[in-house]
Amino acid sequence: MKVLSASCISVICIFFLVHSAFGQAGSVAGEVLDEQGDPLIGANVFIEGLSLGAASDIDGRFSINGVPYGSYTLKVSMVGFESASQSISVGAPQATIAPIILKEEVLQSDEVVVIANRREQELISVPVSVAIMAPEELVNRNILSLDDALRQFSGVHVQGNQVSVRGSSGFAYNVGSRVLLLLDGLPLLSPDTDGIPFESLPFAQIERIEVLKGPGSALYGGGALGGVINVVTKRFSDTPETVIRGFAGAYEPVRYAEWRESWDEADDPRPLYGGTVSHSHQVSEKFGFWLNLDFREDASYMRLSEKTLFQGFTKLGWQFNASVRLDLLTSVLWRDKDDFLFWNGARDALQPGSLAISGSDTPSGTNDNRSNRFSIMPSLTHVVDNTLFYQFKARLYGIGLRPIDSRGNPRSYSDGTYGFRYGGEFQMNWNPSPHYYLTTGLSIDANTTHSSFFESADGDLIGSQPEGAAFIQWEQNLTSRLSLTAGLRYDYYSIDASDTVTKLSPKVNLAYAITPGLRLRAAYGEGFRIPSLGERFIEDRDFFPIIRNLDLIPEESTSYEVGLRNLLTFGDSSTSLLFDVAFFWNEFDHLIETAFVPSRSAFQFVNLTSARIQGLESSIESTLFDDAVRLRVGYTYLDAEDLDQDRPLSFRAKHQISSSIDATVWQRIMAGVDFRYLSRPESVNSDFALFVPDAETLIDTQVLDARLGYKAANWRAMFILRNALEYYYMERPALLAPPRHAIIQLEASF
Amino acid sequence: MVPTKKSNSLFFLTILIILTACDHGLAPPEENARGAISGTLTYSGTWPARDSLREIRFVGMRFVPQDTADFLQLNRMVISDTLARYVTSDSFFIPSVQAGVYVYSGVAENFGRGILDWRPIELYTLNEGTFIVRGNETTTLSIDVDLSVRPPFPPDIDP
Repeated sequence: MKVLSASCISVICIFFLVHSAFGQAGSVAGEVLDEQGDPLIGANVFIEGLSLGAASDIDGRFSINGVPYGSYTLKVSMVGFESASQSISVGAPQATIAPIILKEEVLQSDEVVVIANRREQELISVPVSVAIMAPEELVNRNILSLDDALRQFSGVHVQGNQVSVRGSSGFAYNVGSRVLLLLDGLPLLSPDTDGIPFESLPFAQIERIEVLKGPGSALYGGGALGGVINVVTKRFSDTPETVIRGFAGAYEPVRYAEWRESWDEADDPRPLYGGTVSHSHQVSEKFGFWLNLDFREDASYMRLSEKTLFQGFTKLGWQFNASVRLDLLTSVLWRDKDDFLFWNGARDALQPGSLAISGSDTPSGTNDNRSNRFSIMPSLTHVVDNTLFYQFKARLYGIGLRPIDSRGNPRSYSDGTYGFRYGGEFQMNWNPSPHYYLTTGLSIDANTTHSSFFESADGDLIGSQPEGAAFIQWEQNLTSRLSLTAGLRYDYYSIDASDTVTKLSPKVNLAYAITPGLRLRAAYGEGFRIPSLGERFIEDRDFFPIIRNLDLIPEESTSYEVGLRNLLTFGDSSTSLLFDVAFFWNEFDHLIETAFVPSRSAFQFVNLTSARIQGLESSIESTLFDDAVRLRVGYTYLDAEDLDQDRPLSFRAKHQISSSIDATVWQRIMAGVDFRYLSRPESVNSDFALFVPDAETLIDTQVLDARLGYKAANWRAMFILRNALEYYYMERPALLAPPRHAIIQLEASF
Repeated sequence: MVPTKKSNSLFFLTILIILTACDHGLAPPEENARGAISGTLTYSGTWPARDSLREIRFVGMRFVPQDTADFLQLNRMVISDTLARYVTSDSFFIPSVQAGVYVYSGVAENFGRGILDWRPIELYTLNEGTFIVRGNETTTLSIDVDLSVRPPFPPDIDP
């Protein structure tokens, strides 16, 4: 190394000696600053036409020696800034030039999110981990259920009907979701179990799906223990736009005769089909609307698992004047569905099993019911001036669930469940200067549910948990590069009129713009989840032996995160690369899981354990070749430890890879592939495995979905092959995930 | 710039290779060899009162239970249909039994409504209580049940 350095120095010395022999030389000195006058470190400064240059130091200063007398062009460049050039003249030993100001490069990123701070912000600048999915990605994949969309997100693990963000959730049959679902900012968890209604969304009118990866209770309250999902619906089309979409497909018979043996219909392809009609129009300056109607039929690849669904959504918007706007989002849903809960063993994977300890004659591994849902969500926005606006939002969300009897008829609601979640919130956003932003508000929420499976504290079948909350958040630019966000929310819950719970949830975020496209972030936040009515009050001996637990206390989480996000654009911005990496450390207390209580011969939801989940998440998104290719790759590493039992936390995959590539392969023909991998969970709930055969059977997940489409001006056709590798796996114990199935989708718009 | 025909062909060739080369994940496990158990029971002593004896069954276990909670390990047990009570002898036949070594077996009574309200009234003691079920074979057992003496539960375990 020393020899090499000596050689280099010798060559340089000889060069300068020779050069000086032919004429006089001087030096050029100066400084490089940004538009705020702050020094820029590491800017490249060079003299055009000469092999001379330097980099700016910690004070933004530079000096170039050995410049022959004469006139030149000095060029300055730095990543994230527009290049600059300046004419200089060197006619003295030391030439000092005026400071060179570099302008920040405007990045071509039109991706915005609301979820991070309850207001629209550029994705690149939010101080927390957020990912989004655009509507085109939903259509290309024929996504008709939120869980199918969430499977595409890095760091999100869907286990049947349970969503886990960075390992926050185990598996509990979609009871007590640790991830909060918002529809246009309003919570949409079901009133009975706080479960996510995966299908009950207007998929043809979704603008984007946002996922906040980390606790969000400081802004959104209970339920946002592990993360938040916000589904943002579209505005209205300026010209009348009607979209008709139909799809049909089939599940391929499974390849193993053992699985088909006990069910004759398993030898034939099992159909699925459906359609969507949607229309959107901004009719006048004052009024606009869209509607979205869906029908779906799915015969399923498993026995006693069929589903029929009809649903409709409408959104109406009135712009009363330039500053006042009212939106009204409504929905109705009707669904017949068999819920396949667990199999009859790994040799009989398409049949529901029976729980040997329940006294029921019917299989416990399936649950046939008819459900109805509706929602009404008005939102009034008043823009006072350029710096201030406020919103009133309200919601009424109702569900009705009726068991189906042996003749296929629904029983009465009194034999099932019906409930309502209702409430409202006031939010004010004040932006007095470009450097300050205040978001504050009040929220009330209540849910009341009657269920034949409930026994509340006072012994009746009705449970309720009204809640009131206040929140405030302050954002401030501390310097031109450093910004601070601090928030606090106070929640007050009344549990079935017998108990009260109060929670204070803080958050602090820091964001530092190293360059306009390179952002460093640090986040601290706390989250909590109040046990759902279902977890607290469910009591059943016939179908599934489970007993209530009135002593449940809230789950709590504390999260720390450090992340780096880098957006690079190349050429005329048609090629871009967004890189994001985050290290996170989450602590959970009083996690509620199901456990078998031998003394009561039944399962029960209990505050079972504390956990620490730490890990790394990285993702790369890129558009290449004039947007002809879109690429996304994400990797998540989880180290999830059960602190009470000193073992890996159940149902968590240590490694997760999700990737997709979409390309225009020839003119109007496009193709795409998604691949996701999850390593086999290191642990499962052993109580479950006591009763359900082969419930401890686990395997890696390796799923590849492929699609090929043709897109014309007014119509498109897609062929989608899901699980193309015909890889059999389980997203959760004792339930075979969908085998290979093909779908043809046709869409016309006019 | 758009991808060329050559790159497209390469892309689809790669997909084709992946489609055909990968394994298929979960498969039905090999069926464990299964045999059958045939047994005769001879009772002596006095049957307990009818209101305290709800049901009796033969139970074979491939493990030694340490607690009543171990009765929940149903995947490692075999249980006969309900047996006749207040008789001097009876027989049973269990047609499909997982082959293996059964180390703790006998006749058990159900004395309450709970699923764990079971206890042994006599154990199979020949060959230190162990018998083997082989695939496609029937293992024959004979148990003399003394209704006047209950075996200890949990069982005494030699150190």
